[in-house]
Amino acid sequence: MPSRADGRRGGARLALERAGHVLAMAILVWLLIQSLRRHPSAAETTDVRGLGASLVSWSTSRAPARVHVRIDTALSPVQRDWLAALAAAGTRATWEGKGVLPLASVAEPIADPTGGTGIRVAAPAGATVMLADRFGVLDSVRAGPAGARFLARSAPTAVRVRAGTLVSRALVRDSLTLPRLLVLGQVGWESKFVTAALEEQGWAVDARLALSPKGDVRQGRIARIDTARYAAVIALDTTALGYAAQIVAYVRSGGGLVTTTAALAAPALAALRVGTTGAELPEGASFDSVPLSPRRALALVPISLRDDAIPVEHRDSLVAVAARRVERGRVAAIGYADTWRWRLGGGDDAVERHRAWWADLVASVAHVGRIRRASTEPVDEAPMAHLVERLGAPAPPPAGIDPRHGIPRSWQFGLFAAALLLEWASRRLRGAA
Amino acid sequence: MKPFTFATGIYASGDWESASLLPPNVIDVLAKYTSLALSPSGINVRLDSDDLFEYPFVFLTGHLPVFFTIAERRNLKRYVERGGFLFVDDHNHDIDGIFHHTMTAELEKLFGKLVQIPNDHVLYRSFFTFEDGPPNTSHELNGWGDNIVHAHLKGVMRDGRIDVIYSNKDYSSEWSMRPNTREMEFRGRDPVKFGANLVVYALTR
Repeated sequence: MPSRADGRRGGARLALERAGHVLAMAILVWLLIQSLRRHPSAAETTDVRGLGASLVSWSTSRAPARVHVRIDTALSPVQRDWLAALAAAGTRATWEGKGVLPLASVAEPIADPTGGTGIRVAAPAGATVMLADRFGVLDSVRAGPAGARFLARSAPTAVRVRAGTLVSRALVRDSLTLPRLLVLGQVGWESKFVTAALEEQGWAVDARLALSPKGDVRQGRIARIDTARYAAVIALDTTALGYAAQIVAYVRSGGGLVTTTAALAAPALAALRVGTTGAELPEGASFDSVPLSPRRALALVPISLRDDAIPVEHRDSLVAVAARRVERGRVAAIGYADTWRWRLGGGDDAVERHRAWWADLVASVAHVGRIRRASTEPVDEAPMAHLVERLGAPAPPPAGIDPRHGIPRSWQFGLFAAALLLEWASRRLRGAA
Repeated sequence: MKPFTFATGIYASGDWESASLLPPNVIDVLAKYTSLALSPSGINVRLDSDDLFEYPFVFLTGHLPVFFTIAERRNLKRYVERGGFLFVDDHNHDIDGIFHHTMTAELEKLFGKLVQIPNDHVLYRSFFTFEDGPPNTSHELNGWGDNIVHAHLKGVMRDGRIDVIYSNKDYSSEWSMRPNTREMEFRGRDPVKFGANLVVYALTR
């Protein structure tokens, strides 16, 4: 016969078993409710490093009412899209990040036979912009008022640009086919050395150079000037005016023209003018005295720009080279006279620098054929724009947000199992069914 | 645009000024037959000065031994490497002469061995056409100097382009003594025409 003490112990044990049973059932009901709730009230925040796991959690087990991401390092396009998908499913997704800068980049092949990729970057002035390809960092600069510009002679087809915490990925989408160049002018040192520089750069050059009333010096087969045959026309003086009508039509249809101010001053080329010209400033300094800026030793006809023209190069406050878009084509006008003097009389690297300067000028206006490249590489040219487009403007974190809000699911299950085990063990120990 | 200026090179040794009548005659031919922008008179430029690089065509001549200074050698090498053009003529018309020996030694020291320019080279068609290569001079035909009619010019060539022309034909005498217009009409030829080919070639290649 059980004692009174046994009866008290038995009552306590039954109470404990019932408590365990009730607790297990309560947890089960709680888990059931949690799983059936469509709009939980919890808000969660995370940084980018923890975002991958959080996205999986939010998408597979529970979706908080709000998620907030602190962007402290680059956020991939997939993660942005994933957050946007969560937002579309009812979760409010917000973000913040002090280092998130407006950033965009574009990579294009350079219209030059030696190849290369030009990368232009839009970033806030003063931001440090770093360029990398798949092998590592290539260069870094501080962005100016017009952003940053890189020239990668290694011709990468995909580049990464970092400014602040975001990384922009740009892809060279086209490969180029380069037509020929046409040099028009009078036989002289400028036509000789400009043609030589462009040929050394790898361009195929046709030339028609006025020599005498009876004939010209011709190089190559001078065809009709059109964009199918010529990437650019280089008009060195007024002898090019015999082709003025063709040149105007060529530029309007997309061709490029590099010309001297003397040629552009002619009425026949008025439609292509970049501005008006002033009186020639004669050559003054010797090349030895201006080794870092050798074009200061050249005579200059300064250019006063039209409204739609842009300066390409200055000498002090004067515009030395200017450019303008004319319908589908581009015109670059050079105020310098006799650039051959730089090549012949400049410093040790004058030949290379003269060649590169002319090649850059031609590349800036050249009309080239484009062939679309097939590529599966990811592109993310404007990460901040994409972020704002997908998730909206940055927002402060919700008040009182606690990333460790609530009891973790694993703890809930453990408690549920422990309560059941307690009840079961107690019943087994007292011999109950 | 700077006009073409015929430049005669001044070197420290020898008699660089021995053909002072040649430049005006070449300029006259250029003015007569071409529409090139020309300086009306030639200029003398020191080979050891930076001014050399303002004149991409330079004429050298003389009778006497030539020994370039270090500065002249340095400038000439740089000048030719950058696209400058040298026309050198042996005023002695004598392959055993001292000018020939010393000048060719200097040129070969700077630019390597002088090679024969083929007579079908574009130089002979760059303006006037000379089917048989370099035109002969009266000095050659009269048996003066080395008593040889030189069939070829020599030069320094790079990728088919002539950087330096060396002549034993004594154009220095022939072109200095250019006959007047009536005489040329009578003879049916202008001996200085080949000078136009040299200048046009230098300006276009």
